[in-house]
Amino acid sequence: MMTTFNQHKQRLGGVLAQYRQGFNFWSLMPLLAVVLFAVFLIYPLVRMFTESLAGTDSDVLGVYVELFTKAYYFESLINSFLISITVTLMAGLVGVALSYFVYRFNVPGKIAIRAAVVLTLVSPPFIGAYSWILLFGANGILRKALVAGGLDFPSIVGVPGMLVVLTLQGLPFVFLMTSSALSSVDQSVEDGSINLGRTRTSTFFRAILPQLRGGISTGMLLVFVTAFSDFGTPAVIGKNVRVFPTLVYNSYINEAQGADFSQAASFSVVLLVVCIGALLLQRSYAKRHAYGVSAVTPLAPMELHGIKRILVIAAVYGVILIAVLPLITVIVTSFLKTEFQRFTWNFTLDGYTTDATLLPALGNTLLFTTIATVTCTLAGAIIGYVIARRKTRLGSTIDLLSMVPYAVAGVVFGIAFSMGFGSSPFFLAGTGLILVMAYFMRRLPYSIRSISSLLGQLGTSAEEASVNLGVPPSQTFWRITVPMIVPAIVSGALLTWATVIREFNATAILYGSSTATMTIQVFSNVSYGRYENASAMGTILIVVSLIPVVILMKVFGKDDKILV
Amino acid sequence: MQNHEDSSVTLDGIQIRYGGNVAVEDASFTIESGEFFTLLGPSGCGKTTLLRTIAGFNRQSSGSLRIGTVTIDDLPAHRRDTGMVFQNYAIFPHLTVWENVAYGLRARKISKDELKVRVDEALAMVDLGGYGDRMPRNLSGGQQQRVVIARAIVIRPRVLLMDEPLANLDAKLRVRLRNDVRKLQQELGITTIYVTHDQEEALDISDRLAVMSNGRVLQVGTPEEIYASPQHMFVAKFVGEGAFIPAQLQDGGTSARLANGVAVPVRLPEAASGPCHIGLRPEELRLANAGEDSLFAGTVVSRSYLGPQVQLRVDIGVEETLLLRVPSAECPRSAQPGVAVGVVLVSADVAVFANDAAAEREAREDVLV
Repeated sequence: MMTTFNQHKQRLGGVLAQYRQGFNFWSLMPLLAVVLFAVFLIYPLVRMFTESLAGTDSDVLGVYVELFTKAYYFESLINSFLISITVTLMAGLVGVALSYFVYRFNVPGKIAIRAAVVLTLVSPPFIGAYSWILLFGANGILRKALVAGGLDFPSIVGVPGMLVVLTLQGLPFVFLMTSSALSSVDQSVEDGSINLGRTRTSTFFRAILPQLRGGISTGMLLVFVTAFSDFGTPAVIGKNVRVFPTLVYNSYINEAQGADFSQAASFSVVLLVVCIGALLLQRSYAKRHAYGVSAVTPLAPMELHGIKRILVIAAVYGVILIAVLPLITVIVTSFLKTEFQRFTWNFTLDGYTTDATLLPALGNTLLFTTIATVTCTLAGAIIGYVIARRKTRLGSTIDLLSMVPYAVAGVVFGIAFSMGFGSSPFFLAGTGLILVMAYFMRRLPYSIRSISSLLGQLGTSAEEASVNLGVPPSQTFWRITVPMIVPAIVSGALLTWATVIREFNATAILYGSSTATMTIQVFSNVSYGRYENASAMGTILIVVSLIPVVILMKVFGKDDKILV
Repeated sequence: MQNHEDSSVTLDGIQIRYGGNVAVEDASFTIESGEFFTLLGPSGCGKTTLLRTIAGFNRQSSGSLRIGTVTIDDLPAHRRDTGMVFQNYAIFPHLTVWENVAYGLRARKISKDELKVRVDEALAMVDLGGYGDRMPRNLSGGQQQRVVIARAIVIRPRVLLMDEPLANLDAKLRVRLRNDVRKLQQELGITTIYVTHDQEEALDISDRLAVMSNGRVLQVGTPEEIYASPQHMFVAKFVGEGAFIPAQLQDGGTSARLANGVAVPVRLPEAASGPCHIGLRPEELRLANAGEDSLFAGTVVSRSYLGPQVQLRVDIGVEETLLLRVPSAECPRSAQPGVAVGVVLVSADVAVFANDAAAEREAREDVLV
């Protein structure tokens, strides 16, 4: 293993020797990348930190002390921890099982299942919350049906609702990460374990699952960070349960009048520290359990028969149904009339026609998302390439910096950007630019990593072969490297598009009167009980976020990998 | 097809260092025009590094490289006019077979008609005519490797470089493809440098070979020279089998005394004394007939049937057991483990290796790897 690593390094060094001629476009890129991170990530975070200390006159740590001593604040923090950990465990359990079942067993419609999972990944977070209220809230359609049938089913509003919604929201992360980890497990490991006398079940827990720990923990980290920092979901379905992100958001809104952000900043710092702590914990765990294996013969699908097959299919489709139920609800209710904040079974297009904010919001969303996606994809591809292929002293610095945004939750991003760029000397508060900047930075690490890890896997030999055949390195880049990474660039862009379009937490902090996006308007429609309009806008949001997926499926054919 | 006047490759004191590690130490030899030359050695011996340096992917720390009479030290890789075949194929996954082969030609100013003729010709040479429209992922490993070979020869490079091109193929295919490679090389008369760790392969296809260990070139010669007159014990061990036994030179270097007291007659170019090793290959030994005088007396420790031959290991009371191969029909049934036998030395020219303690340790480790 050591020798291959060294050989790889040597190879890189060799090809690169020729590039290191003078100061050109490529030698500028690493520097530019560091500047990018410094300006759009480090600066706002530092600004937020200093702001958190600047507030109270006498005692700089005052707000921090308050947080841990005032029961009201401390309770929110504890609640958030309990809820996030529960959600992370549940999403982990269900996600791993779902992923293994779909990967391993003869479940029909695998592409449809993957598509459904991606669909839930790209749908706006609190749409789920709002749909669950429509279904199982105090006046929920399904709850009423159950109660009418004699079942005393409690309203989902409160902690149960938050657990359900956040778990479903996190499920796709675990599912996708586990699926990709499963694809690098070799069949021989399972065969070997069974050959040594283990049962299939014991083989799964002792031989297969341990190899998935890196992927699963990455998925669970993402679940934790989202669950711990999302205030859209608790705002809609949480009712009176106090959670930390809501506290952060509220203190920001309250302080916005006084222009003293010390409390919001301090709370954001605490939120950031918790998420960074989780990130570091996960990194060190994944590092200890990284085996650097790739499958020669991937795990073969297994044929289940009879009752076992029925149970597995029922479990898989049960989960998928629950996951897409909110989406279906939104679409159906967008065509239904509401009377006194309740849906009736009468068809109407009022939802689509009576909302004056719909068109401006749609325009904003499309404009910001497009700019953010294009810039982020380009920058990500270039930086990812630089990290993977160019020998640069800044490589490890860039790598480290690009990890940070994983732990910076939307609300923290929003507050940091607001403090860094909102007022003097930039005065970007409420502009489209500040939103685009925040979107760009949030997604940049994902873009970078998808390219750099792909290039790492591909190795340098195709590029070397091209040079060897007489094609200079600059042309080799365009003729060999670029075509090889285009599929990854495209699917990365897709994911960026879909995740930016549904962004809510940072947007809620940063938007201004003329820059409200669709997620903001859905939220405000929900808050004011304009359910028709909320559903209509939600439906349009879902459709718009899927348009590129559909176009690309047409262009690239039915390759289901494009979805992941 | 080849019309380069001189495509010999000369290595002049090539040293390659990475940080504090020396990957290749003072490699100096010349590969003749049109020669099939192999770099042979265990993994990590520096052979691939050396090949990649010739291709221009690494830069040597010191020394100089020439193709023909032209020094190529400062020539970037894409202008060295070498065709390289990679171990892991390095096929361009996004191009068809035909476009893979045409790739290098397109970088040269060549008319469309000639391009087509040459690509088709190259594909035909590797038996892939009619495969032009396929995508690489629809080809088997052997077919992919042939695409890569066609891709390398179609540009008519001055030197063909092959980095363990057959290592990822199964044994049967490996032998077939290596015969094809050799035939193709002879037809084209193209100077070829071939890297492998498979000694059988190296002996089979090379005009000459260089045996490397730990970054050093130990011996350069024809397959016969390397096998029959190894100059280092490492070379002898790596390209063949046998027993390598510690001994003391005595009587002015005319015989070597083993630990069990047996004096083995040796011939040295000049008088010498002191500790050494002698090497006894299986074909230099045979079983003594009943009543015949024999140099060694020992006990059979193992017997294994190899088909045409029976392999015996005989303990003669020294560190290593002797290795014998007896034609199956002639091997007495009685020669079973535990039975005492005599062993006759057939060769008059026993290999003697100087005792270089460091080299010895090194060689031992390498062979174990």
